[in-house]
Amino acid sequence: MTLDSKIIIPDSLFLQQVDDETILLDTNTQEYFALNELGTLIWDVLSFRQDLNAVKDAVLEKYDVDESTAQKDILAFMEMLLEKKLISLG
Amino acid sequence: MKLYEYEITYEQEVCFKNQKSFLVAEADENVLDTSFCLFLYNNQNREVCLTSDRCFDTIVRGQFICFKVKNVIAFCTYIGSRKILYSYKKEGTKSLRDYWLYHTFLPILLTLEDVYYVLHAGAVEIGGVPVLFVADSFGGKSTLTNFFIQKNHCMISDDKVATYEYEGKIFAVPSYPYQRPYRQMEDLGVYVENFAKKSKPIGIIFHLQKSQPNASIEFTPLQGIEKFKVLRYATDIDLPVNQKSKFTQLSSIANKTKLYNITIPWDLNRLEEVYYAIVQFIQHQHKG
Repeated sequence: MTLDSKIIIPDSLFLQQVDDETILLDTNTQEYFALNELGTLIWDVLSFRQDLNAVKDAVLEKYDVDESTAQKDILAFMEMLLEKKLISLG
Repeated sequence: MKLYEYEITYEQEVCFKNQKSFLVAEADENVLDTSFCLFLYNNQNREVCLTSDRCFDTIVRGQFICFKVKNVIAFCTYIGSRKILYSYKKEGTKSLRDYWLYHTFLPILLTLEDVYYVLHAGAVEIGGVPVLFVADSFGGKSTLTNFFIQKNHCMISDDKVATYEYEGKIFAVPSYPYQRPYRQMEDLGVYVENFAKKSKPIGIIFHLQKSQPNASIEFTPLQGIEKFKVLRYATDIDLPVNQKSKFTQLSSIANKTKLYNITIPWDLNRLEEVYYAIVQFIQHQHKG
């Protein structure tokens, strides 16, 4: 996976905020996951634009990190989502 | 009789200005096509299913729903019609009809219609405010609810607490005026005179956790996903229906109610101590 990969988010995933945490529900498996602050930001951007370069721009704007770290963290998060079959690649 | 805030009338049609009523009448079993079927589990050792003329993913007004308890009874309705027809099967009786209607079909129907979100909980009023008890199976909900009822607290429900959101608050709905302080299949239990008259905003939800008989009673607030998990586990009507809406409702309940773990020493001789600890905790919350 790279930042240029096309991400597909299925219709079966829903997101809700509970207190200060974000919960992602997969209605196919009924599993739910807590997203941390970075994960919530990544998901919020992806929901509107399935473009990891836009995600990187949002992360760089919000956090004081260099581009390489941002890219590494984003791809690690996306690999985790892919492993759990929450997203797929186009 | 009022169940889940709806007036239930049997056999005779009565018009109410307020449309919160159900007409329940006996009829021959409907022969409509009901190709879609959901089997339900953990149902008093009976085979139970829901069938419909449409898929269950999204429920629509006018959709035909049939709830069948094998060898006992079938209830049929059209979503939004406020009429329920039932037909007895070979083991069907009036008391079984009432059990399956009050305890199971009405909460399912009101969930399918998106009227309520139902929690598997005991609930009483403490200081006039609804307090709910949720727990794992055999976790002490009924025992604790029964103890509060014996102490003259008004009962909201012994088993199922329907909830809805109104003006930013989550309301607990009085279910039916029966309590079952013993485990017996298909039995509503004993009539409870001191039954709540109307829905009120939930004060607190307690998640009961068994502890050692000599352990102290402790209250710990829950937040975020831990709170969500407890409420998710306590969800009574867990069907693959209107899932996005259900998730939104559950998250709203989590955001708008206070939820505390309470450790319960597993010793019936200390039940009175638990009772007073909870009452004092509620009083302290009100002062705060």
